[in-house]
Amino acid sequence: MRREEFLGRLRSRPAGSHLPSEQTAPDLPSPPGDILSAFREMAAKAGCRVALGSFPELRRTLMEEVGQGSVLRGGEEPVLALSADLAAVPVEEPFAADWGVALADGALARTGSMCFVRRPASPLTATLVPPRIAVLVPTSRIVWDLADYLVDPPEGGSLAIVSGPSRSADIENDLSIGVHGPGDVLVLVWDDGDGVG
Amino acid sequence: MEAQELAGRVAAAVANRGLHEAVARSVDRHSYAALAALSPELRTLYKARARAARLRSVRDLADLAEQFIAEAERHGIVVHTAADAAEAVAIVAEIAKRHGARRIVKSKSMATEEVELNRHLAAEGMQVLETDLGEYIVQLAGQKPSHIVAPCLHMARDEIAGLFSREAGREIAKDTPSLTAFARERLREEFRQADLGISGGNFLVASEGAVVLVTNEGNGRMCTTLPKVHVALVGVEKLVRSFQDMADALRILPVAATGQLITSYVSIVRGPAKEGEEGPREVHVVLMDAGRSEILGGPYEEVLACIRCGACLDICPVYRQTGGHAYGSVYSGPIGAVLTPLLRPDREAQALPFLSSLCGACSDVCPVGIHLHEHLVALRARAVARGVTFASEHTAFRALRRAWTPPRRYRLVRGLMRGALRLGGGVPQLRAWTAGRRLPPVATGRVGELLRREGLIEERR
Ligand code: SF4
Repeated sequence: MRREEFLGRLRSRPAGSHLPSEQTAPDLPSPPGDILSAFREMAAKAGCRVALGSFPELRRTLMEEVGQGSVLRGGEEPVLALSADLAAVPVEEPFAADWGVALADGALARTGSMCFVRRPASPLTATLVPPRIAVLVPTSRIVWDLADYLVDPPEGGSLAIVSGPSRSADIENDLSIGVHGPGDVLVLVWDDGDGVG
Repeated sequence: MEAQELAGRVAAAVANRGLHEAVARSVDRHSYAALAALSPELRTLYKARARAARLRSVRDLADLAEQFIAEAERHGIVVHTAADAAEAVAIVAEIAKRHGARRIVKSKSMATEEVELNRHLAAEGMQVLETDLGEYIVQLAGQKPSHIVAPCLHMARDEIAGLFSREAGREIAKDTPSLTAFARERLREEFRQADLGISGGNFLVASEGAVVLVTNEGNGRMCTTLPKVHVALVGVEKLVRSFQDMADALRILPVAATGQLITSYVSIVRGPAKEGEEGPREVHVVLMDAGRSEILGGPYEEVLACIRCGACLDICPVYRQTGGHAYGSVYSGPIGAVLTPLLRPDREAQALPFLSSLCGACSDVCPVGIHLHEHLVALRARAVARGVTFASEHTAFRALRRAWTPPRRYRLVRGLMRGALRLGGGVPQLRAWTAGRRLPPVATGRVGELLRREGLIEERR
């Protein structure tokens, strides 16, 4: 159907004539003061393993976790520094990686989520295809809710908001982890010194 | 009898105890988890905000559609408009053909179920594989999803293990990890090789031209990230004004669906990959009307605010006894009983509003406050006006009219009924309903006498 016709059909209808008139929605409660603690708690509740530390500490943690495994990683400077000693697979071969390593563009305390934006140096496959992923979350990037993160939408392409491992309860409502996406999500909370805002 | 097939399916489902157990297990878990996820205060608040956001979308649907098209195209998304199911299918098939697609991976989408996309693409020689675990299972079984959130909730693991073993050509163990591992390996290969990914969309954000997908398994992300072409087929009612309105609706959607505060993944598709980026080279959105515009502006337009959470199915005492397939529609449960007769003209669809006890639990639980039970009552009246009735009901009402019309006969029948009820026999025709229920004792006095004594009605002459 031609676009004008399609829109014309919608326009020809008295939309809203059987709905109550618009009312202002109630305000949301203000977020708790300590959103860093809230983020850690909620990420753990969502099924992530959460580590908090300085950059060198987190680097050591990642080294121990990945060991001889291979990583698919983004090209951001902190990610390269964090995974410098690990064996990287080319971005074109995401299925070859044991681990994905990525830098979160934002994090949401209310739900323990991490936000990723497709950019040339940030492939979305890094948090999707490998069976295990490690995500660097700078404390300065933690906000309360998805609505706060999207107030000023980030530049770049498509977004992925990740909250814990891949899960399904399709077989007799029995939870299973790591169906298509990663089954293990290691969150590396990096106190980047800018405080929490 | 009208809607004979519907009655037959319902009777078969009601007699199937295994089905009741499977359905009850899942829906109860959903309902309890949903209840435990939020405090009553937050639930009320989130519901109010979600309802406001969704009703705003319905009011402004035409403007939002126009804005969405402009914004999506600005980001390089190709937007198509489809008047009906046939057009929607033809558009998707044309895109697939143009790219020479033979292997297609698909994530769960009720809109594609509605138009029977898989069947049409298969007829064109294309292989379409469902990749959501539950959808994959029902596809292997040659069935349709029986719940809008949990497609195979009616199936037991033995049956699933049988299907997977047949597919694998070897025995697959019945435990959940073995079953999941098989599906994961099988579908990973498909994700690597697919030429086209098809999805639906939970929201279309007008101000951003973005398609939002809410999933748990990661297959939705795979379908929209790995193949070179991504096509999203979405009903036009999924539009929301802005990211803020989307966030308002999303705050309650997973809570109502499964009791999660958020799903494992929320994908926000904002266009094809640019130079130097991984991701699809082409993104298409097919905006589908297929009956939505006729609902808009009419007495049932509130249902366009539905966010397909499935909570009304989970709480419904009828769905609990019948499961989803008995409805004979992709949309089952209370929302299915309201939406289907509005989208489909056939008589069977018009009879679906009768599959309700009108207890109103669906309206209570609906996260966007749709008055489902009121719509069910109105649609029953509409169905009767259109001549859709059940023969047994006809017979019963005709018999009642005969029995009650001359007052003397009415008094006689009343006396006989009282006697029968006192003797405990009940009414034989209603035994299916009265079995397992204890009727209250028959009162000694009569309402008529009481009213006369109180002077509320006149003395009988
Ligand atoms: S009608 Fe309400 S409860 Fe039912 S699926 Fe839609 S949003 Fe959920």
